[in-house]
Amino acid sequence: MSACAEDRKNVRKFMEDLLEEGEYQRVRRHVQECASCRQFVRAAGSISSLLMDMGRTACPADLADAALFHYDKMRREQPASPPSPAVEAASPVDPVAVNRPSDRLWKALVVVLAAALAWTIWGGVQTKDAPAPPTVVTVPAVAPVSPRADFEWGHLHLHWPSGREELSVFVAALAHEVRYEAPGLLVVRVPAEHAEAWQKAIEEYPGLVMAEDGSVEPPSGSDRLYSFDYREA
Amino acid sequence: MKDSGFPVINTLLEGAEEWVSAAQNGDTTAARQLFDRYGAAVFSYIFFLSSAGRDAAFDKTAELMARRLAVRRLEDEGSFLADCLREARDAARSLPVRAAFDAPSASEGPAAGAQRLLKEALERLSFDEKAYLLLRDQLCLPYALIAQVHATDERQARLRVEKARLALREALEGILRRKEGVL
Repeated sequence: MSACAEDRKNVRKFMEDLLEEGEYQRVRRHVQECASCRQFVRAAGSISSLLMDMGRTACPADLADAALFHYDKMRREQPASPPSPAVEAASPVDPVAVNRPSDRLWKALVVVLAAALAWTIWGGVQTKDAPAPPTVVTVPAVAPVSPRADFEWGHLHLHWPSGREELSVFVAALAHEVRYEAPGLLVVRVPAEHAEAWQKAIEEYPGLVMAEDGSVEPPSGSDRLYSFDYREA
Repeated sequence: MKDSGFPVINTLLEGAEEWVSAAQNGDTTAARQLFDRYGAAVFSYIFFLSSAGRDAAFDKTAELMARRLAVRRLEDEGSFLADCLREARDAARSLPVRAAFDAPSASEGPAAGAQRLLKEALERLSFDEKAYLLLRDQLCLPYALIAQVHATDERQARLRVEKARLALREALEGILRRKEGVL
């Protein structure tokens, strides 16, 4: 049974590497897109089809996330240098991909959070017009060290002046709001449905002391507040 | 399980240069596109070339692909994928070899037995034989790109792949004779 117009002889030749290079790559693309031909390749049980299928079963799903984490970290560690002319001249990425709704939403979220952070950190005081802030948990009395914070692509970066390695926390996907309540104290508002995922994610950062602040009713009634003491001990 | 095709051959071989330029200039969206597009191929290459296990292959893949984009090079000597695969090959050579394959899992399909046999045969190949064979018969890359990875010419790349296939068939026959008495 064949649900596609591709000549199965070509697919067999593809598996046996008997096609000219251009035709080989055309059939490769077709096999990738056509479920019927993929099934045919798998059913053939040839060495090449087994090898291709082995690659499918071995590939981890979160590889791109891990690579992106390294990429962000390495770029921050890079000394600033002017881009090469080739890089400057190059056009940006695929516009279709960039303008996907999820990307726009993502960028908007980052902008909102970045603005909130900048206001509270560099302003140094709470805004008078802001809604009544929740009371936060008491933190140990250690000397404040004024870490610098910035927000980039969903990651919150904290840098300590003493040279301690910076902390990068992926927050945008889970948190509704990040707010500095006091020097050294960060409050994050997380929707209830994300609370478990947030707790699991944040456990990977042992440098943070986290506590759910049960003493305050969150503004929305359904959110959870988490506070962080990020001062250097 | 949802049929996701063959991700290791889902590689866009043309038009990636603009993504590379943008990612080298700090465009995270472009970087993700490249990781999504090429990650499975680079991971698979390290995984099957090194026998070092999933975790080691995962870490090495993420690290080397990120480094290739984050650490700028003013002179590019080849395509992004060819560079990554060349570095992957060199990294795989130095990764510690794991003693045994993964144990079979209950969720494995009917092809699992054949794949296990094939893995065992792959282990009998020399590193260089595997390094050529996987690029063509698993990743389905053009010979021109395989030649680029190995710093050779297309004719030589084709010959090396053919030789590796022959070695793989011989290894398979040997295993089958010993284990099953089939041949």
